[in-house]
Amino acid sequence: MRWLMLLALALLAFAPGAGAQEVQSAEIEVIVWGYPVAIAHDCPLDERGRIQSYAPLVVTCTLRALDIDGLWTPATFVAELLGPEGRVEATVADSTLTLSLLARTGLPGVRVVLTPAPVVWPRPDGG
Amino acid sequence: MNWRWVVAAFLAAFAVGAMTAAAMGQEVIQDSVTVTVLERPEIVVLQGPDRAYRGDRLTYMARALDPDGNPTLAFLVWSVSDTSVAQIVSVTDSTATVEARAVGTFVVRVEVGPLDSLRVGFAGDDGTFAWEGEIQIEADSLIYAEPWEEGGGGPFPFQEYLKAYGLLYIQACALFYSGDQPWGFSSHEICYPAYAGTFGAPDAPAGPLYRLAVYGAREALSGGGLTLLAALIRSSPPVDRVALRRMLL
Repeated sequence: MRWLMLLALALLAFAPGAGAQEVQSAEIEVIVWGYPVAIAHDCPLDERGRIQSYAPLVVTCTLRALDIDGLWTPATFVAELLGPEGRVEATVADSTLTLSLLARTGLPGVRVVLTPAPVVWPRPDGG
Repeated sequence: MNWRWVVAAFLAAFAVGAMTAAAMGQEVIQDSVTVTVLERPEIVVLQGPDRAYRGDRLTYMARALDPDGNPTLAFLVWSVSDTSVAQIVSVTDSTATVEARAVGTFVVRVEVGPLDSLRVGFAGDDGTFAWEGEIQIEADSLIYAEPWEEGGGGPFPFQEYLKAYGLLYIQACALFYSGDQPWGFSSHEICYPAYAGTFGAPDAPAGPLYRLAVYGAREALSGGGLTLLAALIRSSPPVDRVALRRMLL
C-alpha cells in the first residue's frame, strides 16, 4: 500500500502542470518628463519681468514650463513681486497668470519673477 | 488552488510517516505529520508612481496575494520595458527602485511566481551552492550589446544580456576567479553569508548585496577570463544547467 502511495506521489509530482510556472503580473505605465528649468509665456513682461503694457488693468496669460531641452514639462508656478509694493497683484492658478494693475504710478519699478517648480504628484495608492 | 498540490502534500505526509516507520523497523500505531499547504499566489498588487521627472528614483512595491486571503509565498521578478528610458537600480524582497534616465514612457512590470517555479540548480534554502564545478568563461565569448573595449563600453549591459536570452530576470550568486584574484558576482543578498570573505572586501556594500547588481564584473572581465567555481542561480523563466552553460560559454 505504501509503495502504491509513493507511486501516486511520484506521478502527481511529475504530472503535466504540477510544476508548471503559474505567473501573475502587474504593470504600471510611467511617463517621464524633463525637469522644469524655464518658463515660456505670453504675458506682457520683458525678460527681466518688467511690465510692458499698462492696459487693460487686468491681464491673464499662459505659462508653459520647459525642460533643459526646451520641451514642455508639467510644473507648478510661483509668481514673486519685487519693487514698489501695492502696485501690482499677481496670482497663479494652474498655468494661468493674472496680473492686476492696482496703481498707475511706480509700475516701471515692479518686477514679476516667475519660477517653475516640479509637481509633487499624489501617489496612486493615495499615500 | 491547484488540487494536485493538496493531494501531493497529503500523500507526502503519509509517505514520510510510512518511510520513517519502515526505517525504524517498528510497528507504528499512530503517527502524524503536519503539512502547511500554501496557496499559490494568484493576485499581484503593484503600487508606485506613474509620473516622474528625469533623474527621479521611483520606488514600486508589489505584493502577492491569495484570492482567499490565505498565506502565500512568492518570488517577484521585476522588469522595465525600455531600459533606455529607465533602469532598475535595486530590488528588495518586495520593492524595486527604478531610475528614470530619459524623457519618454516605460512600463514597470512585476511578475509573481511560486518559488519552486523559479529555482534552478538550487538545493535548498540554507545558502549552499548547488552548482559546483569549474567552467572557464572567456571574456570575448560573453554577449555584449556593444563590443567590450578597455576603458570604455560602459557597464555590463545586464538587461540586454537577459533580453538576448529571453530571460525576464536572473539572480546570480557566484564566485569567480580571474587569475589568482577572486571576484564575487552577486545580484542578491543571499550571497553574502556564503562568501562574506570575498564580498566583504575591499568594496563591501553598506547594505545588502543586491544593491550591487554586478559586483566587480567589469574589472574581472577586463582581466581576460573568469573561472566560475560555484553558483546559485534563479531565473525566470527557468533555465537548466545546459542552457545556462550555453549562455555563459
